[in-house]
Amino acid sequence: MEQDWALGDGKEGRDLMLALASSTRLRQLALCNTNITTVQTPKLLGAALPSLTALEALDLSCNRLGAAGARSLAAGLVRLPALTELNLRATALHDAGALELARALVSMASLKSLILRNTQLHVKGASVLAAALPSLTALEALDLGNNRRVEQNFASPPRA
Amino acid sequence: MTARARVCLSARSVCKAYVEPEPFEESAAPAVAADKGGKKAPPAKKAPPKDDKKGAKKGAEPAEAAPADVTGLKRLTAALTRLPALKMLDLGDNRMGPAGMGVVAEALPQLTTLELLAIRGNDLGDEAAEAFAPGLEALLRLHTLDLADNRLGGEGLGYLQAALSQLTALQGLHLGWNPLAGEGAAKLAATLASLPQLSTLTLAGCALSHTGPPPEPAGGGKGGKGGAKGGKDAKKPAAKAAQPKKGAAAADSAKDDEPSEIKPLERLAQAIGSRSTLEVSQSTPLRRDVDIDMLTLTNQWPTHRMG
Repeated sequence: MEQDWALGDGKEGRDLMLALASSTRLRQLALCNTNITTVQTPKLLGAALPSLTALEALDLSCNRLGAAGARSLAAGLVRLPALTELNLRATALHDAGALELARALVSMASLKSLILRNTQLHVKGASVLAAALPSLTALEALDLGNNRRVEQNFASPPRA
Repeated sequence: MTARARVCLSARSVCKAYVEPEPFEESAAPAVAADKGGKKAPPAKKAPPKDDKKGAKKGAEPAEAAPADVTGLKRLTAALTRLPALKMLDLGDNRMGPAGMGVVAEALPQLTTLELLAIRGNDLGDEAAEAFAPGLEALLRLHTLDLADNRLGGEGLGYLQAALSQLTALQGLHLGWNPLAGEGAAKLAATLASLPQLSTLTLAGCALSHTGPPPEPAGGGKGGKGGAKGGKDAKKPAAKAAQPKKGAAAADSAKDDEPSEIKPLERLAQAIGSRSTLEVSQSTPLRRDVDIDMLTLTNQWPTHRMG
């Protein structure tokens, strides 16, 4: 299933999230760049996730989830026993979002691929992530690239 | 872009499918303004200027203000060493600078399961390359190494040369957007001989034909959109390179070349030529199965932004 239009947070988005709750055989869900931005859609998605017991890959990249979105999703993420790939590229998590995510990651031991490219992680975000990472004993691929587009990312000196 | 990233980084596809990110990736932040009101946000196409304002845009000049805060990175790299199955690690485009890269280097000897390491765009620099070499040497399973856009010149490559030569499983080596003209090309030529498995070599934007001092940054560094994925463009220069005799002639015709400076380039051409299968002429490659089959030499104009 590939969904690649701007669902937004309108009725279509809501309907889809509600429909997902009965998609128990879904193995891959790509919702990249679908304009999931406000709290409500992530919440509905988070609520639908526990039904997706067969889900192996979840792509939410390029949606401005932020910390609130991450919080809404986190509770659902930990209830996906088959999930091996999670793509949160360019989701504007920032450190606060990383903290929400980290809380979920510690219970996601089956994860093999985690993409956090361009999520605007700072020193703190890197630290909370570091605390969660050792739980991911199956992790094979980790993408933390392009986290420099902030005043001070997790390593670079502050820019003038 | 998203699909591509997913493909190249899905855990199943390990190294062979590695696709370099855009040479100068601009903000991939969602093209939607944060709309706190929760009202129907139209599918806005304009990227919010919000994220770009801090001058975080890649500047050509190294930032050398306050010392880097590497505490987060230190914790992160320590955590990485505790991941027993880690095969692919992408820390690219983080502009960590020498200090940050030093922290990464310290962790490398314990990341021996790695098959892909992408540390492009981190301003490693020539001096810090020396400290980086010992860590690199330990990654004996490495299939793909992306060191592009790291201000590596001949000196830096000299430090890395011995380490690179140990990585005999290496299939993909990405060194684009480093000032490798002259000495760098010669060092690379010498290294290639010890990498029998190498099949992909990227030297895009290395100003290989440039012989003067490092070029001035040109126009905000946006010149590279043709970038490092020029598999098709690579054929032409590679064909030249594959005929060592004509290598000198080819270099002669290249812009800004001084005859006295041709040697390193010629040596590189020969090193590549002895392996290349792109050339369909009579020259029979020695080992067809292990030869370079993808060579990228696009964007060699000396005016490109480079460290």
